[in-house]
Amino acid sequence: MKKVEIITRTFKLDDVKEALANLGIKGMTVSEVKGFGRQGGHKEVYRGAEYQVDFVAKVKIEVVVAASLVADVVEAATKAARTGQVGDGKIFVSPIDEVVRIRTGETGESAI
Amino acid sequence: MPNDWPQVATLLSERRETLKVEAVRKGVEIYPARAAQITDLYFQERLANHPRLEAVFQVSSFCLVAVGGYGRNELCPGSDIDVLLLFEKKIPVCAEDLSSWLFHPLWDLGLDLGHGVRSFSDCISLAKNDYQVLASLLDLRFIAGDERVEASFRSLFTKKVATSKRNAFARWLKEQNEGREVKFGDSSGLLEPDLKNGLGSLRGVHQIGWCTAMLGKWTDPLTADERRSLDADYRFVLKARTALHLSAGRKTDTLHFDLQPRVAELLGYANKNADPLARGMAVEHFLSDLHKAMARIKMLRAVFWQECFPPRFWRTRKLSPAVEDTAVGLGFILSGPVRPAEMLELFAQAAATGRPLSLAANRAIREAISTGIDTFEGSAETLAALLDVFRAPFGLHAALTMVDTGLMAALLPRFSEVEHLVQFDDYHVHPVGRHTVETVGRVADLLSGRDERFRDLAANVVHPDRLLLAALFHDLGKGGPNHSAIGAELVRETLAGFGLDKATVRDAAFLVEHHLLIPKTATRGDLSDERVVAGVAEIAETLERLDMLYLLSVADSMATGPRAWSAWTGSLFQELYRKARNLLTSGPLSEPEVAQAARATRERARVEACGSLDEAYVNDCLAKMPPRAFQALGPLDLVRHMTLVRQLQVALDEDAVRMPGKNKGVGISAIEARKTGVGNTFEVSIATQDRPGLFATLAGVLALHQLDILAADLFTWKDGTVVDVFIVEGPGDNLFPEEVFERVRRAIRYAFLGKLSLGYRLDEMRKSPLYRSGSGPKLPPVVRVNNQASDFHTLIEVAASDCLGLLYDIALTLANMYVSIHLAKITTDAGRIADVFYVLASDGRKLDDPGLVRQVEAELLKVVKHS
Repeated sequence: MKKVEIITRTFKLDDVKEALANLGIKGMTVSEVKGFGRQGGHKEVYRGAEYQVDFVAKVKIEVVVAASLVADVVEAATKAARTGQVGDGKIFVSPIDEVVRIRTGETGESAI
Repeated sequence: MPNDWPQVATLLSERRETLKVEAVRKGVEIYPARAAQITDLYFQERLANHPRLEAVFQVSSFCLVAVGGYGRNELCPGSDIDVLLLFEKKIPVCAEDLSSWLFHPLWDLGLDLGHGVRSFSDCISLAKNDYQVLASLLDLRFIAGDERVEASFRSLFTKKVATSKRNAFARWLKEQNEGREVKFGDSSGLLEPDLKNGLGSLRGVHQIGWCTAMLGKWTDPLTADERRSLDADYRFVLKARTALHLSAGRKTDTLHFDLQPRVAELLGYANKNADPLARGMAVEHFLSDLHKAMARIKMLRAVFWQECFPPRFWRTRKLSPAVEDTAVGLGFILSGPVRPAEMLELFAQAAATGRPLSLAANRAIREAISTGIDTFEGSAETLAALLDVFRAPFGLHAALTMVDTGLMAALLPRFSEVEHLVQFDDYHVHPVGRHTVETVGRVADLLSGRDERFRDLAANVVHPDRLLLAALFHDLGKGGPNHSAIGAELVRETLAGFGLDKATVRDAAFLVEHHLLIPKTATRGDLSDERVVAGVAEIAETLERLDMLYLLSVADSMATGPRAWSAWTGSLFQELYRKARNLLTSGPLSEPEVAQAARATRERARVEACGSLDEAYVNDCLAKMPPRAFQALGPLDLVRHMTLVRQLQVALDEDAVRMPGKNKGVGISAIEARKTGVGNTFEVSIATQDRPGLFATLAGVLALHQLDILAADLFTWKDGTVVDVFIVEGPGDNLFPEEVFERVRRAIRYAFLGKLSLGYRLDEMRKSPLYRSGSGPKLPPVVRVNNQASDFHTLIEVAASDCLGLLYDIALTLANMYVSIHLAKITTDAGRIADVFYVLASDGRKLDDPGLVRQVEAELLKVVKHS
């Protein structure tokens, strides 16, 4: 099992969600996050004064999937989230040791 | 599982598993209906077991219905199970308890459950506004609860929604279909079709069903035979979808290449133990049947639509003595059997106006063809009329309809034999029939001069008909080896039968026979070698033939698919064509002329370089450069190389100060990358000092940075300086490409210093869960050593399945045998590489020792076998 974390533009959330749903992904966790990458935040001007905005609002989508599905998930998410501009985000893939569905106590892939 | 886990859910899960096994054993067609049946059983038993069922009924009567695919009694292994709890009046509080009782166990089984809990009025108002809901309710089916509730909902739905929303719903479907075509494509002509959503897929038949249900009392435009054929095709595609879900182990509607062998096997086309070739053939057979079924579905859906929803205000116009344009499409004015000439007239009008054929016209043509009327005695006029169809503005559309109705096959019997032949690879996008029509369409398009790159060239073509004919026949010889020669023979036989003049037949046959000459030479030959170009010019003989051959190659590659046609291939074709044309217009260069041209290049380079570089340095460089540089490169390229080598020397001097030890100057390089202006390709020139395994290291480093190498040209100077020029595709970073190349430069250094193990890192990339090797069929690798093709080099041709870093492995193997690479041409298609290396042995001569040749072949085979 692998966790795929997709950090991307807020307006791309629906596209990514649809792309993942088409792969039969049944659940995901979404959070609003802030951060910056290569672009290092950007400057904004408000009433003549320049403000450094360090953090840019993004969404983080987390899904845990069977290892065999990782390549498909990453490909679909990349395709859906890409605009080709700075700030498209990143995808992290990491191993997951165990999953428990709290209500039933099921573990492993059947609990995903 | 929790303690209160219901027995019926376990039963459902077990029954589904048993059914899967049984379906694989007995035939997958049993699955959809049986799966619906066992799901019904679950719902019925689960509802009956509800502890407070009576109490719920006392509050409000209700029923449980299936909608969507489940409503149609068709559940593929990965299908959604869509159900609706339908309450006559307001939804009572206890509905929540009831729905979790029914639905939660299914979620826990991991099934895709789509559920709704709605009252009558909710349903009606939703259906009025959301046509997706409306469509799903059209397939409604009773499962459990109070049957009277279902009956009364049906009559209410017909009264309130079906009648009033009929036309709006039809319009919505039409819009959906336009969207579907863009998103999923025409399934009947794609090698990886979408079985559910593409044109010609299951959805097309669903739509006919929905409209039949919406229209209520009316006469069916389809005949009983057409209905039967539609039903059979539908069942076939559904069977394929079931097999697809079983093979993939999850829901997916696109029939991907890697799943096709297993699907074909499940449908009984081949067994598991057959050899790879037989399995490949079985897949082709299956795809061909699938395409036929989908083409019929697509056609029937289109004509059904025209008949049921004609435009409101339409005045029938007479377009020609035999053809009129009616509200339901183009039709014949006269009744009775149609003659071939009239059919062609109809298609000429379709090509001119872009209007579809009416159902009646469609039937008349099919009937005439199937009764085998004295069809086409094969006159020159018939053929001319056919070519005219392609030349009209909507020619491609009309020609595709012509294929669908079977007229094309009746006209050219050979066409019907190969029409549905597909190549089981991920290179061609369409089967032969569709590919042929697309190619002729593209040729017609190029000839029309709409594409300005080819406008002047197209204007020069004196006999456009010959080119169009060649396009029509170019692949009809497929089905066995050497299709070009067989195709040429076919042209001679068929066209002579049609009564065409000798010159036309000769030219068309020539074009068919050599239609792969330009693609093959351009992607594999050394285009700076005059002999290679002269070979093409010799075969073409005349300018007109060369022009036509070039246009045919471009159209053919474009119609083959995105893997055959990229901006890079286009530029190679163009270079070869331009050089061959020059050779034909000004004659071949004699030996002294070649030397003179090289001297001229050298002098111009000297003049250009002296502006920015020191004269002594320039002279020094020119003396050290290899002779081939003055033939293969232009003066400006030479200046760039000199500048780059200058940078290298500066870097080497700096390094000598910083690192005086034994690692002095190791892996130091200067790199220059510039856009070629062709697609997303870069020309990367790397100057460095020659070392064993240099080319392998560079190839490995580029692969590590996900840069696809398309070609490589290597220039070794007399002092051991090397300038390697790579054409690479990528990088993925279109905003900061210079950073990628800077990383490449550092990686080269680390690789030589031993800080970066390329073999290990490439292996790591191959093992990543994100890495996927080519999906094409695995064919045995081929390695061929050729000493004849070039005067100065030995050619090594390698064809094998592609994998990451393969070029690195090949180059490393050659380096280990002290074979140096001087030029490399890399072609990757159909998940397979076809690379050509121009090499020399360590003594600077060709590989003329038979022992060495055998050893090279054996070692390379070992490497590519493991790819």
